[in-house]
Amino acid sequence: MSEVNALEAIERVRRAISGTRAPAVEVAVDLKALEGEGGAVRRVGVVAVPGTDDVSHVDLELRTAASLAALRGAFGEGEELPQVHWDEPRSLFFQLPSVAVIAQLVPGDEESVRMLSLRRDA
Amino acid sequence: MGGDRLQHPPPVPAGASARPVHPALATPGAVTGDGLAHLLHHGDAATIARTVSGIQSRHGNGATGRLVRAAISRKETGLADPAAVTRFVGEGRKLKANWVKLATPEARAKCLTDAALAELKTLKVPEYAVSVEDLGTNSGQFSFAVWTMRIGKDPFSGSLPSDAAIADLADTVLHESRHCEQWFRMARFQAGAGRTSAEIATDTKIPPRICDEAVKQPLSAAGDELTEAQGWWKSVYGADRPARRKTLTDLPVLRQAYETAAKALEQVKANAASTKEQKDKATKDRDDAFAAYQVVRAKYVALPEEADAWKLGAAVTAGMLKP
Repeated sequence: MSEVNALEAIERVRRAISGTRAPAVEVAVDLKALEGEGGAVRRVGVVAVPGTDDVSHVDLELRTAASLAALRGAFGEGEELPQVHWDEPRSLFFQLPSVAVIAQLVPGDEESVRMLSLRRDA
Repeated sequence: MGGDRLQHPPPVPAGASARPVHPALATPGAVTGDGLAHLLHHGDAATIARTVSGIQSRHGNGATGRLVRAAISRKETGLADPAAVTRFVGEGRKLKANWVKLATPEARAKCLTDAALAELKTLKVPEYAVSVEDLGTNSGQFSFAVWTMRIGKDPFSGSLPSDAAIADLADTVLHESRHCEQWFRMARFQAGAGRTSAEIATDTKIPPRICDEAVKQPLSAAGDELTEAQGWWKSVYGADRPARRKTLTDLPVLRQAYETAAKALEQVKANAASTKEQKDKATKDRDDAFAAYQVVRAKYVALPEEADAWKLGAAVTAGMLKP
């Protein structure tokens, strides 16, 4: 596949998990291609709702950190999530139609994002 | 959780936990009803006697009687119920016995998360997903926005850990599972206040499917469950949210400042040309940094949701280490 940047990867995941009941195992196979050499995504993790094969969320680890400004440009300002613990990275929450994007800020460089979770809301 | 320990001279005495005791029990003069209730439910006779005696000497018989009566009448809720902790510890002990046989981090973690999930199921808390990931030295953390227990791969890897290390894993899993219960109870509290599932999801960022479950179990009846939920809500989402955020933001900064000062002291000590004044100043800088860190850390462990989860974890550790 061709290289994709972080925003393209998010859009691809969004399309794969929103408005569909595709089984998590199939979504995982489909999205595995995002890990292709040279692309923005280092690792894709598809997590199912317990006891079902519905997708709960997809974790994306980016090969290179994306800028928070780019995410804000695409999805709006976002809202900071309350941290549960002091030693976990701060996260911003972006609500999109049918999907929520949770962007984990890089500790020490909070203008960058390396870990993303896309939660399937519908 | 699991990466928040900081060693500072004087070292923690051998056999003592590096974790702080529950803040309500840290000093007898500061005993609260919450701390005393926990002690009466989980403590040994000698500690109870010593603590009550301490309260009597400071506050007199009347105040002590009122405090003890209130503490006795208070029921530990949910996962903090001593029976739930005992069952979890029983399952946790099997992890040690089966560590080698279980072989993978996933299988070992499952031993503990299955036990915690069984307890949450009886409480009608929606099941969290479990995801084993690279979290460094962190053994686990609950992510409420995706309703997932993220388990650290490294702490569950390798050869059989010490008893204390296995107890720490069990402590972490129940501590984090309590956070799951807390967040669901907060959602139920909001449902009891008349909020819709969509409103709760918007306010809390808890997944909509979990909020749907919460509105089926609205919490509005007066009692310990509601009182706790109100306290957690006030801390995380309510009036105390800005102060809580500041505590969580300041803590890593102060920890880093302490580590920098401690390193500077070591460098001064290692330099044969350092004067006594330089050594004294570097020592004072390190101790001042530690004191500043401790002040904020005390605020952190006293956060209602943290104090609550800490005491549960401590009960697990005590149970796991009991011969």
